[in-house]
Amino acid sequence: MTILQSIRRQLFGKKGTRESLVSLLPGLSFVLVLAGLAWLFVLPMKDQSRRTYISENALLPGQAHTYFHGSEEHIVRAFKEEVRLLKDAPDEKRARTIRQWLSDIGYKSATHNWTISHYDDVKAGVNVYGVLHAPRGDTTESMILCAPWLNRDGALNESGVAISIALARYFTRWSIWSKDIILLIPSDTSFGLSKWVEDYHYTSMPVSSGSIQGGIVLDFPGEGERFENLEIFYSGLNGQLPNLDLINTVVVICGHMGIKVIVHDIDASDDEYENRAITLVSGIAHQALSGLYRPGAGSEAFSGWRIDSVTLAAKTSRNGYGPYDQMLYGRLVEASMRSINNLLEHFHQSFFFYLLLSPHRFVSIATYLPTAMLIGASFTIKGIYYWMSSSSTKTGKTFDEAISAFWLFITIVSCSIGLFSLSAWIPSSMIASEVFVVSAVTPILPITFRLFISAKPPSYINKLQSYVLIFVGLFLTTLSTLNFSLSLMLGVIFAPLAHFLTPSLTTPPKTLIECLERFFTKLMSWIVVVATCPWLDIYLYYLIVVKESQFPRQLSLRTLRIFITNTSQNEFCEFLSGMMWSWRALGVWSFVPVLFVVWLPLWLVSCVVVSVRAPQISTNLRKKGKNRNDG
Amino acid sequence: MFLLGSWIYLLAVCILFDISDCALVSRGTYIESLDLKPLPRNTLLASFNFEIYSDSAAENGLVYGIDGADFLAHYGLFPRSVGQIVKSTQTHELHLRFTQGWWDSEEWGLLPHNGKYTGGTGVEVWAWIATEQDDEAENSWYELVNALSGLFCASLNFVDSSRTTPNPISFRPDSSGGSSSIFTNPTARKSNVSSTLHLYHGSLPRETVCTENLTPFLKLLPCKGRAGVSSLLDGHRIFDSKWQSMALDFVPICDSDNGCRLHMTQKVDVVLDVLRSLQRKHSPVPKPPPLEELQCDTSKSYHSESICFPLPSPHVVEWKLSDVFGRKIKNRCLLDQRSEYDGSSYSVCTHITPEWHLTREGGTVVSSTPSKACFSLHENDEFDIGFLTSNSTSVSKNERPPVYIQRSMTGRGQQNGGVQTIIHNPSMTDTVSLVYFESLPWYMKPYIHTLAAALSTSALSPIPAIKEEVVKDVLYRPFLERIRGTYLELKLEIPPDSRLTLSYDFDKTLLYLAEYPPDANRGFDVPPGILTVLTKDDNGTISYAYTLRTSSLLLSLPTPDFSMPYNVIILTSTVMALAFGTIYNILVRRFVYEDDVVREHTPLMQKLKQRIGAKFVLWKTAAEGNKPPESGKLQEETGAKYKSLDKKN
Repeated sequence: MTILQSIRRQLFGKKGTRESLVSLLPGLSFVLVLAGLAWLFVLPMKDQSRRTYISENALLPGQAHTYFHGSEEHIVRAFKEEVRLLKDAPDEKRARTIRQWLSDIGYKSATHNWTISHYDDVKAGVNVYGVLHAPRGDTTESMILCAPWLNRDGALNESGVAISIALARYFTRWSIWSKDIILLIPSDTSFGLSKWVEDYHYTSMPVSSGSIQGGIVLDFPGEGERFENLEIFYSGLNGQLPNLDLINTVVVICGHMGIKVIVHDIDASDDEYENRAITLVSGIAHQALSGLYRPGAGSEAFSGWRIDSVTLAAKTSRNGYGPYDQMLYGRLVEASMRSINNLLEHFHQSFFFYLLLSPHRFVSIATYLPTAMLIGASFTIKGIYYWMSSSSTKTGKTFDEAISAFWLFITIVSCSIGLFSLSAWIPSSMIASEVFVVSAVTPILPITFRLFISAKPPSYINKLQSYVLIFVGLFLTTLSTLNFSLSLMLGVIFAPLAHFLTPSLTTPPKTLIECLERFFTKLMSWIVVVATCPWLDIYLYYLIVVKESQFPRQLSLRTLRIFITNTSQNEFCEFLSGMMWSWRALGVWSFVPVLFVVWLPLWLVSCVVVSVRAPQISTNLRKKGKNRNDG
Repeated sequence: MFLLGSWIYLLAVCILFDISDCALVSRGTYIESLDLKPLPRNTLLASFNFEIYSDSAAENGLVYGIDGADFLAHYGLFPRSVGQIVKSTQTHELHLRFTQGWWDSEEWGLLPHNGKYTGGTGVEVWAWIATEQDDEAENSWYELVNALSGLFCASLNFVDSSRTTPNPISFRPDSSGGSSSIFTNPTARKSNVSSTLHLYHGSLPRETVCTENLTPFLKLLPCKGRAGVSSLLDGHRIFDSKWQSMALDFVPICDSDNGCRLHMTQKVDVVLDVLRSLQRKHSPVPKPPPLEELQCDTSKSYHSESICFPLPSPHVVEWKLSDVFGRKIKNRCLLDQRSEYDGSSYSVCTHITPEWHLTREGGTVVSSTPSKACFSLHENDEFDIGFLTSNSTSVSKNERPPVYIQRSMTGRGQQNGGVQTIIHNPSMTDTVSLVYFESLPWYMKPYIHTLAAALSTSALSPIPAIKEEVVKDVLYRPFLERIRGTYLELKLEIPPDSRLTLSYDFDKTLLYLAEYPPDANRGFDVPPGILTVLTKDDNGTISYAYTLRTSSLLLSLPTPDFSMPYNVIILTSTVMALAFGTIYNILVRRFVYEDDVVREHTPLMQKLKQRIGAKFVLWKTAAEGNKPPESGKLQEETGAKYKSLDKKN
């Protein structure tokens, strides 16, 4: 108490200190952004990360002998033939056939017809599943073995489905299961699977089991019997991740079996800084954007239901050769199921917040959180700066300004929310036109604002900026604990809006240098505002990332023009409606709602700031502060 | 003392001569039997039945209040350990169940004995206690479960008030006497006030039933599992089953002629997976079968040497009782008095269809029809039956149960959730009336106003039923935190060919740290719901026709990280220390304005010199002798400060 008092007395007792301190804030804020970014590059260093370890002793990964070999392969091949025969069969027939196999094996089986619709946009499919009641179990707990019919790329999961059924058959011969085994063959990895999980927890399914403790998703497409390496996908929706123990278990088992594991498509050793950094960035991208517009790997459908799951994708080479054969993959799944079966408690021992640098290395939340927190805090500090600097001008109307700016801020946010509700409500086919209209209207906004607001004193603009920055700062820091990657990503996108925006000055420039300086700051502001336009960014993301395969390798205006004109607008519409569907059907709140509720208001306010002429108070203030200090 | 001595003498006489000739000692009657019934998908239901009748109890000393010395006479066959517990706790009727596994109603049909001897998962116990006062009865109940806990090596002592439900209507006493009791308190008898019966029910769904429970269970039998059908009861095989249930029932049988007799029934019902048991003979682990043993569907177009579509579970099977149980039946329990009891002499019966062929080793065929064959056992003989069939799917099917039930948890998150129970009446013609009983732990806080009933026929989607049409009566006693759980009993009537979906919402509770059990992250088990089907005969009397239970539920409560208390203690201590320091500081310090204090601007070096000088002086004085230190200058300085303050004031 006394310490605080004395600090306060020291700092603010003397006149002029306050101003000089306030004038330090923008610099501090900018330094925080740089520090946050720098911290991100510290993370992949070897000393900052830790080696993974099995925290839950009950798992005993790789300790059990696996027996899925020998004559079982003949059965796998037969199921593969059967799956191939069903490739073009209608959904109903496929479901019926698979259901029959499951019943013959001794599973309680059922089909699950699902439909989700939004106006005439209907998505439907048939899932098949079966339950093996654990001998001596009481259907209290279960674990899930899932082999989507189509994998994340839309390819037929031929070996995956065949191996899962052969494994399911093989599992009936064991009496060691302490949990029921649910074999699930959903029609796809996104809506079908997530609808099944939702219905399992909410409605009466004809065949049911207990609470699901963990799951393995099998992804082994193609006819080949061999694979090159094993890829682990683990990202959940809304930034949720499965317990690190589950991933470790799979990695340890792979180590025992001599299978090469890779995380998120990064095939590289973890000895080099660069490789770890790439894996980290790819992990961040996956976490931030999972479930957004394309089917995920499958495991993310279980997140949010307290079910830890990973997708084990066998990467096949084009010619069908590889060092490992399909039975090894089967034994890997068998060993993983044995480990989950060993669990007495729900997965809880290890980390739920982590970033993998390689299959064997990770950074935990305590290490990586400062990145997003620092960037998030920079917005709050900048917001405080705008507030304090604007309230220091002694116009006497500060309070009125604060209120009316607040109303404008509220109006902008509510308009954005309204726009969001509209987008969620209108038919999918109209989303593209809506985006088109909105993006066409947005350039008009600044002009309108200019007419409206130019009469207002400059502190009004600062108040507005202050509100939106504090809002964004609070939002990003909160989000960073839930979905670190998204918070970081948004923070990086938003940072220029907080730091490189300068309102136009009303006073005419005095010298040529000042004129040039003003021109460049103005240019910078406009570049920043255009570059952070949500619509433009989404379109760019679509062009560069989604259409990556068609993106021209040699960049020139001509190739770009051809590329853009070749990209069909229909596909872009589908991409947009896919994003809406991810919110509507999968409950991904961490992108589309965030886009509308946070990104859009911030951007609109920035538009206002750039387009309005106002005396540059910040520099004035700094000068004033200096003068006072000198006096 | 004299009495005791005389009994010991008598016993010695009995032992010296032949026990069976000793007419003086009443021994009671013991019968045992084993029923074997193949079920679909190569499973076998084995029902062991052991029954002990005492001779008339009321006269022989179980009447409450008569000197304990009489007791010795009574325990011929009836186990003394049970008798004493029952007597000391004034238990009128006792039912104890150990169950593990999941009964597949669709495949296996009706539960054995119409579910009368089946419990919910884990351990379940209910008893009627005969006392005058409620609290006395409750104490007796806790005494009873504690004693049983010791006797059966089960955690029954954890049945406390929060796990006990008094007087649910789902249970009725088996004893014919109704409310009259074999226990008549001497004082009560004098005043002609008969004590009343109090029913208590408790269950422990999390308890794992294992060999440690089977061993004391077998010890109660007269032949202790060493001879007769009980010799088959090997823990390794019984607990490798798909489903198993052990029951112990103690019921007094009273009639006007013979007075009261005690009847104890012990039953073990097991469903065994025959193929898995056979595989165990070759290898304890399910290694893949050799290629030549694969049963392939050769009709498939792609069938070849390396591709094999497996045939469904084989239909041609041959196995022996000893393959499944790991041993043969040894001897005959000589104490088995079935012939005296009902004139027959069978011990083992099989229930099969004509497509099965039996081979016998030892024993004698007592009766044989195409659907049922019975055998008796011999002394000093080993008995085994071989089963052979070309079509194992042909089994004498159990009847379809009158209802199916399925219960599950709904919702997500750690704050609240819901429970959904689906009761299906498969009959096309009959309305089923039933009682559904649920007892919920107190940390699951249900909202009964959310209790909803939806009916759907097989074709239509669920329509919200008018609750009154289906739910005839609701008996509900709300929970009291940390004292008792929720008791909910519903009387329902379900129309033919329809499904009733009952659902309600509940809140989850954050427990105190010490209340979390070990392995708290597993979740908390909610006891199974008990469904009793009622039938009405022509006279209008209602009887309990069939009982079945749902599976237990796993309730996940918000669970803290248990290293947290340590962190909390550290943090609290730090905060406390800081707060104390500051507050203490504020309390004892005097604050003055900076400007009011005339600060001496002494240069640093000078200050140091002064300090060292003062120390030096101290040393000096100490060396010279114990003179008081002269620190006059320092004192003066502080004195000046205070003076200036005083002036101000």
